[in-house]
Amino acid sequence: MILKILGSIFIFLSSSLFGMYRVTKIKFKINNLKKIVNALEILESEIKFITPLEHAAKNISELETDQFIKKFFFNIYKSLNQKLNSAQNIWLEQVNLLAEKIYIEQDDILHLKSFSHVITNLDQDLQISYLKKIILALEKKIIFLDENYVSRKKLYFNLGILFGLLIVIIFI
Amino acid sequence: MRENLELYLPCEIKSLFQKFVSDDFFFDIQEIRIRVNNPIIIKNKNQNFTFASNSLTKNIFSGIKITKKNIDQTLELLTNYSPYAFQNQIQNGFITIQNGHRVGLAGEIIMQDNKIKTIRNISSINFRIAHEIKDCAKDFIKYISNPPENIIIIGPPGSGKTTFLRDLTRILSRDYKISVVDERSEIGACYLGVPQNDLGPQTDILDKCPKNLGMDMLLKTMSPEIIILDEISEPAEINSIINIINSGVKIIFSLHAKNLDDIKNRDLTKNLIAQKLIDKYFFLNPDNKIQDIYNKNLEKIF
Repeated sequence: MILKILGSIFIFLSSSLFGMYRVTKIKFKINNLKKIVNALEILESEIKFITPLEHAAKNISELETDQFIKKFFFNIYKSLNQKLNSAQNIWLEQVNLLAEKIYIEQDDILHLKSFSHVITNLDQDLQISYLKKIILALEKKIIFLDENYVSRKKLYFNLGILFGLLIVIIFI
Repeated sequence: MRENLELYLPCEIKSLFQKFVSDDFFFDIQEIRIRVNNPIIIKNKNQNFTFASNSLTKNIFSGIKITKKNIDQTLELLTNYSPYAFQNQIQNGFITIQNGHRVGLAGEIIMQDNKIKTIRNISSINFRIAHEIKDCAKDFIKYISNPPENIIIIGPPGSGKTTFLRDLTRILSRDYKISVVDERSEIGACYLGVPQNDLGPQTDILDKCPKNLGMDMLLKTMSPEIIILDEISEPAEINSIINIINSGVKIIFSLHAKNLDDIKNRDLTKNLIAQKLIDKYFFLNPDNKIQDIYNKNLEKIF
């Protein structure tokens, strides 16, 4: 009997935690996107203020508190400083590395990668427009996820609890 | 100098230099020209060389050809992956890199409001190598009275005007407060605002600043005794120069010209000469030597 109760508690807790995990994942995505948008806004200002890309990346890495985004910009700075690869390849490589480490969706990765098309463009206005476009797309995603988060928070949590209860009822 | 310059060359071209160019040969290089689908041309002591498959050769038709990718990579390195940061310079057709070397660019011009907005699809890059020659102006200081005067350094392109002006700045800076408006970063070769060339202990420098704006700014803020400028070419700059002279500050600047008649007849300079605002005219010849010096009455004194 004790084993049955312990098993039931275990199933109940696992499914509830799974529900919470689904909700928290959305929250992580929102937070990550907010940090990326913030860093891109600084990059936009640095480009407006004609700071060379290498120094702009270094400045952002020094300002950033999130360790993954900090590392993303620091690696860009380091690679640009070594001058062994094109800026386009360096940006793409680092976006791929970042995507492996944080919760971010495929379309957001593609938006981030799109900056590589203009990263060494001669036209400052075009670069700024591209950054604005990326920021706008990410901000829309944040709004969408935020709305989703509110509505799904209860749903996933309750589903987790109910699913746990269902399993317990069926098997016991 | 070699290491600094090679930083701006893509790996393929850099390796050719490392294989076939000795340090002594490199020191005397005046220009390196890189053009799409053409061999690299290296001008050394007024002779042209290029890279054959396993040596340097004077037969410039048989050289290894440059690709568009090589040009794009060079541009990325020249602008430190940030062409937007060099847009003002690119509009004028050149970029100044560390040590004051000037890199000329040619390609497709983009116009906006009847002005050059930028150059894209760059097809030619020309490195003009600057040589800091200390004491090249030392022997001519005796022709500048104390306190100093308003002076023009005149010569054709490549005659060493900037080198002479730089050394003059360094020497005069021992005794006078000097301000330099270095629009093309060729005098001080500033990197992140810090001059890479020795301009002496009392020199303040405004880097990448338009000359006419910089002169007024320095006059109000730095109380200079002498203002130094390179390559005057616009009427607005001449107007600012006249203001500076009238305010009692001395001015030394360089100018592209062939001879005295050339500057006497040119719209840009004839007023300065007619009003006898300039005290000395130093003429440089294409061999980078002072050829003539004239006083304000246009009498030859050297």
